[in-house]
Amino acid sequence: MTKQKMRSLKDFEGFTNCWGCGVDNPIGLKLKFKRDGDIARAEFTPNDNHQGWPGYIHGGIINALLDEAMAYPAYYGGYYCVTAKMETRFKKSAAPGQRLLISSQISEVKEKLLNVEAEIKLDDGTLIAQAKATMYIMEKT
Amino acid sequence: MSIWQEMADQDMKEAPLCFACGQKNPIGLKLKFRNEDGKAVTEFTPTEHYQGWPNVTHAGITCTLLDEAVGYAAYYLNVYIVTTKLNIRFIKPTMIGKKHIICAEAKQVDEKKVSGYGTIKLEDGTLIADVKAEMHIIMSD
Repeated sequence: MTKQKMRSLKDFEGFTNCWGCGVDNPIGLKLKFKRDGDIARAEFTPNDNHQGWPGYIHGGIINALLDEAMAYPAYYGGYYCVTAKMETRFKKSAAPGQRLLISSQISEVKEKLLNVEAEIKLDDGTLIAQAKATMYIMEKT
Repeated sequence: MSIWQEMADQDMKEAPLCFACGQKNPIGLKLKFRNEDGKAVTEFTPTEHYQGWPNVTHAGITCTLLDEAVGYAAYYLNVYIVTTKLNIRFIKPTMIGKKHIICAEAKQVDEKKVSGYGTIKLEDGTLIADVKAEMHIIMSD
């Protein structure tokens, strides 16, 4: 992707077909993040179509929830970013029908990079997974 | 009973609803991996439903492709695993409609642990993303 194309990402606000958050994507996760100070929060209750092994949510879905979550605090801070790398630790498995509480916040701001952290917990506080990402800042508003 | 034991006690060799490889999952990726000298290989061309930014493949889908690929590579070692850790590097963004070539290999580290490495490339060899994974064995053949 060229720098010129990257700069235009801002123009895509309101895009509604994103697999993670687009309200018009018929098969997407339709995540709705809410701003809580500097923290981005969302809830998601996976169904049978989000399984890997029967009864257990796919690691890719867990990773996708964390990835999507980590874009939001950057956005709240006025940064337009792409994820450069991401490390995820899976602590416990989650099951279809269990409500997942997703939260994310910036941990460090460097000149060209943002470090962001995210986690997924159950209602009772059980930690399902946590992730750290390094994001490349394309534009700061 | 640990969650791992609980999972191992179930018959999970079939996963028709798996988000990544289940052929009966209406919203899934329906991946079909093949064993090429122990490596798990497949191709996937994302449709518009799997975009993040407009026309760009959602990073959560990229993660799912890599997670599933290392899982299959482990399966070719005759073990069933769950992912415990993923380190993903996003090298280049990639567009929907382009064929993604996914390839992964795995090796057993000890009685309970498998490590994996996987890549996503375009047909011209461009590296899109790679992963280093750690997996926990829940069942062996």
